[in-house]
Amino acid sequence: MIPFLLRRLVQSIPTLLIASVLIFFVISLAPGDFLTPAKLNPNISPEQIEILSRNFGLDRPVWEQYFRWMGNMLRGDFGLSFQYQQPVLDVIWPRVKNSLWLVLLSTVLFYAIAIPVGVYGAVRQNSLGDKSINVVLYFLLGFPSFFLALIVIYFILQIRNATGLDVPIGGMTSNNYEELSGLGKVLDILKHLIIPATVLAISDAAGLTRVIRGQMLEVMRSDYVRTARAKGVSERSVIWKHTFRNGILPIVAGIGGLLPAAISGAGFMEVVFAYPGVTPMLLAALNTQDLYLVAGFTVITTVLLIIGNAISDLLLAVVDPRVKVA
Amino acid sequence: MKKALFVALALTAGSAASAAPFVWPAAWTAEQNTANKRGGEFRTFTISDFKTFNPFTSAEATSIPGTMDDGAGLFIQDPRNDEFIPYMAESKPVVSNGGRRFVVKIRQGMKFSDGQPITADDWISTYRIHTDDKVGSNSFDSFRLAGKPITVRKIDNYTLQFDFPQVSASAYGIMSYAPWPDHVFGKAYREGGAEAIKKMWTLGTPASQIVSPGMWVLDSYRAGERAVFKKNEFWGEWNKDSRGQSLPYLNNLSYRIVADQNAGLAAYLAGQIDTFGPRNADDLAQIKRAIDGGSLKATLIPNVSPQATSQWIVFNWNKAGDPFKQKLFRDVRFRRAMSHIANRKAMVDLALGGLGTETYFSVYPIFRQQLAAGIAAGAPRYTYNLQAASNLLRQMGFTKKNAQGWLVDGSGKVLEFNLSTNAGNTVREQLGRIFADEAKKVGVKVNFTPIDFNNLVGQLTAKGENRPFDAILLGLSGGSNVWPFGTNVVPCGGNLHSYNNPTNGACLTSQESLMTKLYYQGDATLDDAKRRAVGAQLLKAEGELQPVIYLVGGNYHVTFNERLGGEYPRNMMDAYYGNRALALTFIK
Amino acid sequence: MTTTSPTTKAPRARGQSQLAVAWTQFRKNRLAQIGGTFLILLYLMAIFAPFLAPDGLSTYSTTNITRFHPPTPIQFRDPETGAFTRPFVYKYTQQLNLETFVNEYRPTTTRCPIYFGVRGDEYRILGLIPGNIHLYGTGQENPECKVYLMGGEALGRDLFTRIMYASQISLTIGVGAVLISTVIGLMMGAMAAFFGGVVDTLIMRLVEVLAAIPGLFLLILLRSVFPQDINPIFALYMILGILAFISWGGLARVTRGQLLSVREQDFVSAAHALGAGSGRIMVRHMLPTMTTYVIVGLSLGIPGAILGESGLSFLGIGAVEPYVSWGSLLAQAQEGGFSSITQRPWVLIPGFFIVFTVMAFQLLGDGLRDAFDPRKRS
Repeated sequence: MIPFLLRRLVQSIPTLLIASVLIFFVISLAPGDFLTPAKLNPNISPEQIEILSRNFGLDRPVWEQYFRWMGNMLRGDFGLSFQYQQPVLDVIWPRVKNSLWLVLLSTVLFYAIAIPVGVYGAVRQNSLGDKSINVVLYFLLGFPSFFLALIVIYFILQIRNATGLDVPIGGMTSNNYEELSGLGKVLDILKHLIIPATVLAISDAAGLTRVIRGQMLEVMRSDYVRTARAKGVSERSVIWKHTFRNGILPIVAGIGGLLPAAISGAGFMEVVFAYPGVTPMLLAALNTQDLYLVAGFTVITTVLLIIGNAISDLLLAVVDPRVKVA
Repeated sequence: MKKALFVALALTAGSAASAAPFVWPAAWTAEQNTANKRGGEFRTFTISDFKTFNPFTSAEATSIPGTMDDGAGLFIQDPRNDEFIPYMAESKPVVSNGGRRFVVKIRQGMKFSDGQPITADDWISTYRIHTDDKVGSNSFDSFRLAGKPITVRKIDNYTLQFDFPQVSASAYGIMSYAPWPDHVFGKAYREGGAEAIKKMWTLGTPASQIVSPGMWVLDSYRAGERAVFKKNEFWGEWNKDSRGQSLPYLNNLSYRIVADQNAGLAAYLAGQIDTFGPRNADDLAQIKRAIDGGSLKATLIPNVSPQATSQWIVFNWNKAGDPFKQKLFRDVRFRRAMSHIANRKAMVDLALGGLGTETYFSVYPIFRQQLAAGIAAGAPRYTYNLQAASNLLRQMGFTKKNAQGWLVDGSGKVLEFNLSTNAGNTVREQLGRIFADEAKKVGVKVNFTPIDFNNLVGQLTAKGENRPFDAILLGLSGGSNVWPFGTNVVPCGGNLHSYNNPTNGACLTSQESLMTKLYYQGDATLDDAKRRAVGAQLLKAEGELQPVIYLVGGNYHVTFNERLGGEYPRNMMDAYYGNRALALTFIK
Repeated sequence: MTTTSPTTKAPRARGQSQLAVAWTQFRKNRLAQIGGTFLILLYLMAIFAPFLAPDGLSTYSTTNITRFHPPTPIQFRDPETGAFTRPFVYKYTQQLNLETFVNEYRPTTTRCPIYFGVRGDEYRILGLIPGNIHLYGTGQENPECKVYLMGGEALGRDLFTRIMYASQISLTIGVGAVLISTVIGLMMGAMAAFFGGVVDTLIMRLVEVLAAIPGLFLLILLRSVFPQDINPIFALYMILGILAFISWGGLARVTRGQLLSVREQDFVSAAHALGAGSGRIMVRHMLPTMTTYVIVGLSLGIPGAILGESGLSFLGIGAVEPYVSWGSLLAQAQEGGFSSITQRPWVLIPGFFIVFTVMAFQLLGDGLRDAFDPRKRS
């Protein structure tokens, strides 16, 4: 296992280098830069834009910008965000922390929904329940998330008007958050998290549900499950111990992939619910071509992806003894 | 009310005792806070997160330093008559040197939110830092006139001297920048230069370290969620209402950060914020519904004024690579025909939902006096008239139509051009669609495509003899009501002089030269009426040249929760001044 | 469960082909059949969109404002006599109510008869067959009075017409790209698993490198490489095609993982022992174990592309004016905010086309997977 990890570490160096070149050049070569919108501002002169461009280092050739960036990064400096005039990591970190809460809660809900539903679908294959769950899940799957959110917010507003309940429309904390006690703060955040997390978990559940159902069906037809049944093992035990544990092997092996996902935030749901996570920050950075913020963030996710993949490969070998660590 | 007004004017105009407060005219609000109701929070929203607390690196439209400099500046504009009145200045400046030197006495007894006195040093340091190109302040250009620097000198602790390179109508506006504390920024600047300034007051700085010269000072900020300001107690010492009460009445101001305008509307309808800027009939209808349904108690005033924005189509005169199109776009008859094709009424009805204003000039319709002067001086408007468009095009030699119904010239060349706008802006996409479809009716083939915004701006601001576009539909906003023409729009060579931007920046037509001359002449005219007359001539030249086809603009609507009091009288509200002075706003 | 395996295997060995078995299985699955039928109808609808739609792609009037015209109910009876007549719709008048700010439409008494097979805007079906006959319409005699089956949109264009044309883009947008990336992903994953060693390392590191590329910027970059005056839809298909070459990473990793474990299973060893070549083993024995993943991947990927396209139109890469897709129609409805729900709910209809298409793909995918995979037959 140690040689495997060492080999992976060595391999990751060229991988990261090539990735960083691609990241930097693709962003830099896309038309326009951070100062493009300023060119349309009647109050900013071309001289001023030249000055800013020099201050930001955007007037230099792309390769030179790249080497400076790379050099600084090796020393742990990811550069300054153009928008915030703050080190990239300082901008990213608080957002990642916020996103983690939402991602964690929605991941828990996601598995809590997908696993039982998937198992039920396999055990009662083609029953009325299986079919109706499928239809409902596919219906939700087809809802574009931006649209689902508009409808959810509309209904929250209706509920607020009808009942007078203080259901939060968005954000992460209430106005009086600072005055709350420790427990009150936790509850307040939870109150804000629950709706986006649930919407997110339900609308994504279809994919995993189907994979679990498919895997379970495969395992249930296998010889050892038949043997277990023949032995008189209880149905419950057959399903959970013999079938489920083997059926989710490929899913367990894919867990490493969750690592980059954990810092990438909850996607569009954060924007719609005005949740102060990674996505709104990242979208703004993409829109404004905040070069170092986007590039820095992408490098971090790439590193996590590489680590996650290594973990996945290890897990694959652990859960399935037939596979040797390459 | 009359009496209060009299007192206010007496205090501001007269040479009162040295620590005299500034008295906010009672006429600046429709509703006096006679019961002296104090406290409470004004809750508003913004749709993009704040990026910094630093006044020297901030570049946002709604910003934290921008909120804190509300109530700081040597002069403020009176929304009743657009005149600048002394504010942090004790009195009107002493003008000399042919209108280029201003000596300003600073009001005494003013303090920053940390209790330090505000003195001349604060203006000087602020000026130095803004004008250091290594800092990259967005105000860099506001300390220059026609490329030459403005200088600020300290005469004594409470006297400043401004020297302008030339006479400028914008002088008062330029002098009214907010002073930031010398003991914070000046100190850092002297010790660490521009680099030290750039590292200061980032979002990570504790709010307790932030110092404000104005009405508000930052109280707390939660990234991506909200920023809360509290009143600056020291500000109230020199800002009084007409009955001598300290201002502001409010304790707090808060911004809620929301995803988009729709989310802002949702928060407003739910009563979570106190004000909202309705964009169109849809927003108005939602608010009206909520008011009528009883779920929202609010005031709604539609169509207060036009918005201070413009939407236009510009044709590229620098197309050396395509002589046919270059000749076409440079022909004034063609551009007039294009203005005749623009069905502005349909644009208002369809793209703006029926609430909007037709525009024909670069001056936003909100600046009514300037526009009226221009029209009185004979500035032409080429209104929707397809027949007139056809006639003009026929004069240019486009007499026949081909089999597909497109106009062709003698050599059979189709009258055709590309028109782009930025994708994702629904209103502009609809304006472009309507323009292209109307053009089709007279046989002009307009290939309309929305494209990526950065790409579009790159094309528009390109310089040279062969610039990479035919026609672009875009909009501008910003500008002042003193001299409502853009410094980099009107004069030849400006980077937004987007119809003709050759390498050497030279004018091509006599009208452009005239407009350039009039622009500088107007900017150097101090008398309002005379300046307006210069502006009128400029509008006339612009109208005849039709370098840019102006289309339509939306309207400004006002709505606020009923718990708020102290808004402007109805006739003072407009898109330029807004609907209230926060200093006089109170919670009922 | 009690049936012994020989009885099911025996007839298959000689009598029936794989496909025939799958077909028999598929016919048992009612939901999958519904999904399949639905999809066939949708694609037929896309092909004949110009014929089904009463208007051209972008037809509206600047004098007779029909912005967000409500759907016009079709009348079959004469209101005075009550007798059946030729179907007709009423002409509507429009007025912005300055009290409520709602654009109010009211039916007048003017009747506009509906004809079938009327002549109107010209079109070409599949870009080849010219025509100007439309399934239904009010004809030329009354241009200010039209049938709005599903209401009108922001410029007053017939929403039904726009939805018909949109289906052409939405139903084809992802298919090519998803197929390309699936094939590459399967091949790369299989190669990595089968050859191992250097090949495996190279492919897997390549996956990581490709995953790092910021897709959004690549899209914008690619679009700027294409000349501006080419058809934006053509550019879109080209760009998505190119993107497919970098978006196969996920599937390649899953394939590799799955095959690594399959490689060690008995039936592969058996094939080896029987002297089967490596190519044959890979294609005949190992890759088929991926059917579940591939079908799930495809049936999720194509709808994913349908939804994803709506975001692209904001960048000027997707369906931009005058073209339109279901996604961009829905994005416009979303931009209208609550008004789209309270004042003009019909603008949400494109959303249902998306939802039902996605459902149809899933149901069909389920059925196919169960049909092709002998272990999942019930």
